[in-house]
Amino acid sequence: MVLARLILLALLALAERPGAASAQAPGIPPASMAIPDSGFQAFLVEFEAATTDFLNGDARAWIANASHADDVSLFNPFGMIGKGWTQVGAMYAKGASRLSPRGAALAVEYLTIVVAGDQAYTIAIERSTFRPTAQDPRSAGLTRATDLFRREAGHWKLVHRHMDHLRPPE
Amino acid sequence: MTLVRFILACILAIGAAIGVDHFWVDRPTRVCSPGGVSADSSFREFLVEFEAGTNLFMNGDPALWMSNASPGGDVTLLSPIGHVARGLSQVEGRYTDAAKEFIPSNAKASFDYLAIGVDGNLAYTVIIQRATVRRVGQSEPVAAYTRATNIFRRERCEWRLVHRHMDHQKTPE
Repeated sequence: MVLARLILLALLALAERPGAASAQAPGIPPASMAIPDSGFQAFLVEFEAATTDFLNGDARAWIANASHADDVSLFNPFGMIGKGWTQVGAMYAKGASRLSPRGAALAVEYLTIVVAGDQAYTIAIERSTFRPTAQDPRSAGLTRATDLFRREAGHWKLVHRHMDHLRPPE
Repeated sequence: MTLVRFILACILAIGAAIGVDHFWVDRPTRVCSPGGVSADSSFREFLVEFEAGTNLFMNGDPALWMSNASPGGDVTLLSPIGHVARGLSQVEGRYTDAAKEFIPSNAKASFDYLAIGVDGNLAYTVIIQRATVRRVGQSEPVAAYTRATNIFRRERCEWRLVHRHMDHQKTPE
């Protein structure tokens, strides 16, 4: 029996666990490392499209991608804080309403993408161009963003977004 | 890959038959918490220590902070003064440098948690952090009002910080 268990453990150690990351730091459980997740990767494409729509003044896809739960939160790039969907949803709607629907563009550079079970997060630098309704000239945005997602009823939803403007280090 | 999965399925079936009760190291309730402590309660216990590490950090001592941080190569930091650090070397360097900017002053922060999420081996906190600190080169204590998003991972049964995003705000909005 003992031998059987030893053989089992040895085989388990050698076997590649389906979905596990290939590069892991020593001693870190596989489940907590970045896991290639095609569903989440596909969602990110959709999420980026929704972000571009948002920059063009249309928040519908953005709001559809967001969790409407009471525990959602937002740190927006202007220092404001939202807690709970009532506040956060209103902030998203107001933010998009200040942007003109003309030729916004977005490029996202991901520093990290991690999926672990029903949670995921991304850390990114976002470069964007957009036109605020209050002014005609095109504006450029360079922001740091930490986004936390949760799978709700089989769909990935944004539960927290922390944005601030990227500036030269002090 | 298919063969590996098939072998794995056979092993699981045999294991169940002979009474091997756990295979994966990422089943936290069995492996990391033999006393039956849930991931959520272990994380809340860790947060007390993490707050203590934060307070020490603001007094110039990063030792506890560093021990609460992951030594993994995938760690990241978006610092409150604009740095984007990725990887252990960069991130540790930023933490060490930042702690040197504080003068011991008995600084103690208040932590207003907007959100705490724990699921398996991943957890996060969304915090407003307020403190009065003394900095090198400044004659008077200054009030620091900070927004912070922290992401943690359980490694070898211990919670560790893997990402921190901070920004200073002059006044609460």
